[in-house]
Amino acid sequence: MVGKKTAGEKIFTVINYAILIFLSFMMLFPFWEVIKTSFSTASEASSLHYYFWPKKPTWEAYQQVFGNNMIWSGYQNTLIRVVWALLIQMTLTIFTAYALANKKLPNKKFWTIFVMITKFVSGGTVPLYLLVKSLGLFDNVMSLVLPMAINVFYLMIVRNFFMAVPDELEEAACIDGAGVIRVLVSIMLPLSMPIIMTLAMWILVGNWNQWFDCLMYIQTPSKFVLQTVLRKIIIESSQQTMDISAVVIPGQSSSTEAIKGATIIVSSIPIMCIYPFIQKYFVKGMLVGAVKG
Amino acid sequence: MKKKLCLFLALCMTAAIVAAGCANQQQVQSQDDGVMTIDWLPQCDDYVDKESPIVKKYEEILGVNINFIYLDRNQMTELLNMRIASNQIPDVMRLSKDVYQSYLDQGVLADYTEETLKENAPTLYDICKTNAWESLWQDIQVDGKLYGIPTLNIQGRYPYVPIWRDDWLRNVGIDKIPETLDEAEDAFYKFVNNDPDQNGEKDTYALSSMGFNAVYGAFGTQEYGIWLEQDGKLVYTLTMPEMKEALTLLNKWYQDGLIDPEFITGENKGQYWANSVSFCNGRIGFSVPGAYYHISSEEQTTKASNNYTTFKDLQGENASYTTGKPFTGKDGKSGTYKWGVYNGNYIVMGKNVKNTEGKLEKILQIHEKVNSDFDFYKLTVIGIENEDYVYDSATGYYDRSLFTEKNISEAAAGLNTNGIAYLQNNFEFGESVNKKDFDYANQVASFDGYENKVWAGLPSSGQYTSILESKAKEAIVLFITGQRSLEEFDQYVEEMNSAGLTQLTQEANEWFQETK
Amino acid sequence: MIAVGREKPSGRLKTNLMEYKKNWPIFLMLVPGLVYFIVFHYIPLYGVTIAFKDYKLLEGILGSDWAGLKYFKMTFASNDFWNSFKNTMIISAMKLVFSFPAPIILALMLNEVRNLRFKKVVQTISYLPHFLSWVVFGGVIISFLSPSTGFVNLIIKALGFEPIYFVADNNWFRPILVITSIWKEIGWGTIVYLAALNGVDMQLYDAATVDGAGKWKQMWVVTLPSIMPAIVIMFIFQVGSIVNDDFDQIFNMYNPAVYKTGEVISTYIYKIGIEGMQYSLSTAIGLFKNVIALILIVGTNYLCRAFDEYALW
Repeated sequence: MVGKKTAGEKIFTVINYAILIFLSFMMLFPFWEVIKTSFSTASEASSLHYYFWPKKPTWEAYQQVFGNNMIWSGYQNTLIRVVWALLIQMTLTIFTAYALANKKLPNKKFWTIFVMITKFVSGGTVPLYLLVKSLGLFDNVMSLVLPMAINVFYLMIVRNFFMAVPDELEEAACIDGAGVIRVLVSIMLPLSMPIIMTLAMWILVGNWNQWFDCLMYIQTPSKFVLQTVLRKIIIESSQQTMDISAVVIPGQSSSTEAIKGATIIVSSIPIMCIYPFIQKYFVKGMLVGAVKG
Repeated sequence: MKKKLCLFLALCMTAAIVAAGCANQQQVQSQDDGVMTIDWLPQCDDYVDKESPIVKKYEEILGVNINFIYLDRNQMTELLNMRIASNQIPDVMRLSKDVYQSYLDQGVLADYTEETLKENAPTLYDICKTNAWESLWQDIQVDGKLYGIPTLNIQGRYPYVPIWRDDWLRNVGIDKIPETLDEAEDAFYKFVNNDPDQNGEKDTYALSSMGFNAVYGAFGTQEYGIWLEQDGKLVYTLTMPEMKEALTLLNKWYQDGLIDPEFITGENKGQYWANSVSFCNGRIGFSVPGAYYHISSEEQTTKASNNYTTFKDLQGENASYTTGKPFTGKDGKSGTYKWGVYNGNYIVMGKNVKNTEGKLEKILQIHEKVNSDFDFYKLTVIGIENEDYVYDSATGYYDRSLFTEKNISEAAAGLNTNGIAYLQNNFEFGESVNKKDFDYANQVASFDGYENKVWAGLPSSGQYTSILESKAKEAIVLFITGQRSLEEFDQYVEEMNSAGLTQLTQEANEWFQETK
Repeated sequence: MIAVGREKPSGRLKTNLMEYKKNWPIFLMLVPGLVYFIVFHYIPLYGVTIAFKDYKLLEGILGSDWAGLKYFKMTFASNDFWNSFKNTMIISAMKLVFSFPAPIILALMLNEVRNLRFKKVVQTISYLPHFLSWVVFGGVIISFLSPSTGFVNLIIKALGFEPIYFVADNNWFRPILVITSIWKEIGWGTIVYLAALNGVDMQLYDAATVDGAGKWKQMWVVTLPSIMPAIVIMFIFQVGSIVNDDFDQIFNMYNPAVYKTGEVISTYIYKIGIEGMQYSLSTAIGLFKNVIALILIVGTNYLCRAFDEYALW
């Protein structure tokens, strides 16, 4: 496999590495700007002169974010939401995708279209709101998990990966007398681990970043998810004085820009910590990537 | 192993279904202790802690339970619409004029008679009826009934305040703050050409987007889409002929390099609207960032403005700016924008208040108490003495820095205008608790300003206003930068007219004749 | 299939039922998903009628009065709508041409990297910008591109050219949108392709090497065809979303000087979206958009099916 490299391949490798390193710096740049701003004072964040790191770094923004008494319940609620979402949304998506990928499903085309249609016609937010209310889901974590349980886009992609699994493997298992669930669990899932993990990542990040559904369905502030709490903190700091009001009560002094930065760091760090564990499933060396049939 | 996995998946499904089912049995807690509960929608940035001492005090004094509803400020209308669609109408709300008009038409609001208001809120009634309110009073009556009371904004009396770099003026040899447009123009040219910051580089401009306000004012118009009175009729600022004159001058200045070319992306650089980042960075020497409290220092108002602290931090202690008056144009016109005392917000009650006997009256009485009982006013607006504020009897100043230092989420509790004290139409109260701020405001912001003459929601304003403003913004930028020739100004007016301005102008003038 | 179609209806139904009877475990797996789609998508579907009604909050969607095609007429009569529609299509088409292949190329580049640690680090870094909101990212970009203080213009000036005010220039604004969307989402987009690349059978590479295929040829002959199913489905969805635009991106980056090229459908709705009317109007526009999306997706699917078995249906 390794063999000797031709001159052309060497040049290609060098260029490839060079481009990737350049890209990495490009990607780090905006993130660095955000980290930097989150440690800046209001004045420094307003400076038009470029600075690599604030002269007087301050924790003020983080103190304000973590000083909010809702932040920890926010983390907790988001965690609960994400766990439920992973359980329910993944199970539903995988089951449905497997069924739709299976050649034996009667009226397969009809059901595929039945599902696809939902991506193109939607009743809008108002009927959904009334539905969630009539199901009695208000203030319940299920109101955040169930309405977006299956994303059609994810579903179709997972289905396509399932379809790519050679039929012989499946048939062999069926002849052994294995039930559908067993085929799914013992053959499809292990073979589709990369896409299952991708799905997990999509669901994880998607649920992690949602905030509007929480504003709609959750009415008790102690049940707010993290992103909603962080939004609130930003709004709080940005309306430093109530305009168009009879009396001015000045708010806090730390910079909105810094708080915006801090909230991004605070919300994305946990995901970044999880990422390497998921990443190993889809970033492998070429040699171990092969399907072991 | 595999069996276990199957079992696990099956369990997950069951768990999901059970969880969904459990949710159905939502516990409905209703405090049925005979005390009336009012669903109050404040416009706080934070949710109100029901256990906070201030809320406890309110409830004790008023004898009611107050259920503060938290809705995200930036998504307020959308969330409120959904609540109303499911018949969860808050009892007390503050609505902007267009939403007010729309809710009124849809029958969301509770109505009451003049008599009811007079009986339950005599002070408020008097303020409404007497204090130069006659025209407004007519406007809020719909078929002889009342649906909402407009809030009056005491700060709206003060126009935006222009600021000048006085050190720059001195450096270019000008001793007094420019008072006329010609003097200002002279100073502007020197700001660009005579190196006012004395760093040997030509890196300064005279003004950016916020400073335009005073220029428009000198021609008798404004860049905000508002209605002004001219010869007994209402005209829309953005298409006035004066606008063309102002734009011609600004275009000339732009060509001559007086205007920071980056004015297009905003002088605030994406920050809070009244933060003049360009000014604080020493790029420009003149600006009109906002009201008096957007430019004040610590000594002048309760709290130093962002602009002041940032300016001092970035430019050093020796740099300074000072307030000026808007410069006068050739016809003697001058002024900056002001919000106006009538700002078009209404305090209303949801129609469901009528389901509980005496609730409507009780709510009116609460509004009355805020406007007639100074102690209660202080409690609802600035909090508890020596905990949230300190009163200095020598100067008559209320020092509210204690409140400022507290975490807002602890202190919120519906304080300020956005909670219980929605209606603060009794200006005497406001003037006394904010004496320090208003002393400063009277000193720096006592000149003429331009305010919108239409305070009510016109029938079509919801439909056209933002599109018109967007079209005008685009045109103004293109005219100033010369991407569009000013000879096309008439064509632009034509576009505006056909985009709904004709209709709006007619409606505005009809309304004006009625309420005059 | 054709043979079945020719049978008598009753006979067809019978075979159909037998199919279900025989394959009930498979169908059973579909049932939870179907329940979900019926409850959360088909039941609320009555909300679509809002586009044909004068929606009143208290009367509800069903109880409000019919308005006929009023909102469609209002939309189609407006030049501003068509302008925003045109901009949306142009921006999306540009994104389809440039942003769509970008993560595929990055995934292929990463695939050629032998150093596993380097690969992981680069991949991790590349998806960081996905976590920035457009409010923040847009702000960073605007200052990055500033004609006086931005990096890009400092370089342009150092090379002796005139600085360019990228975000306020109608010639530049759309390319800037495309580039920044690639910048922000390229790393996140590679994940699905990397997952696909993992399924590539190594024996194919060995076989190709034996045949004397170089790196470049291997990529064309082995790698690309192996991830084609993933590319096809992503492509179909991307084409289907050509009528959609990224509100957050544009709203946070545009300014009055580039309304001409940057105003898209969602920002237009935002401007006209005023109390009460917004629901009907935006549902009407949404309906119109979805019809186009449906046509596009069916069309693309048809084309893809001609070349590949992995189309949507």
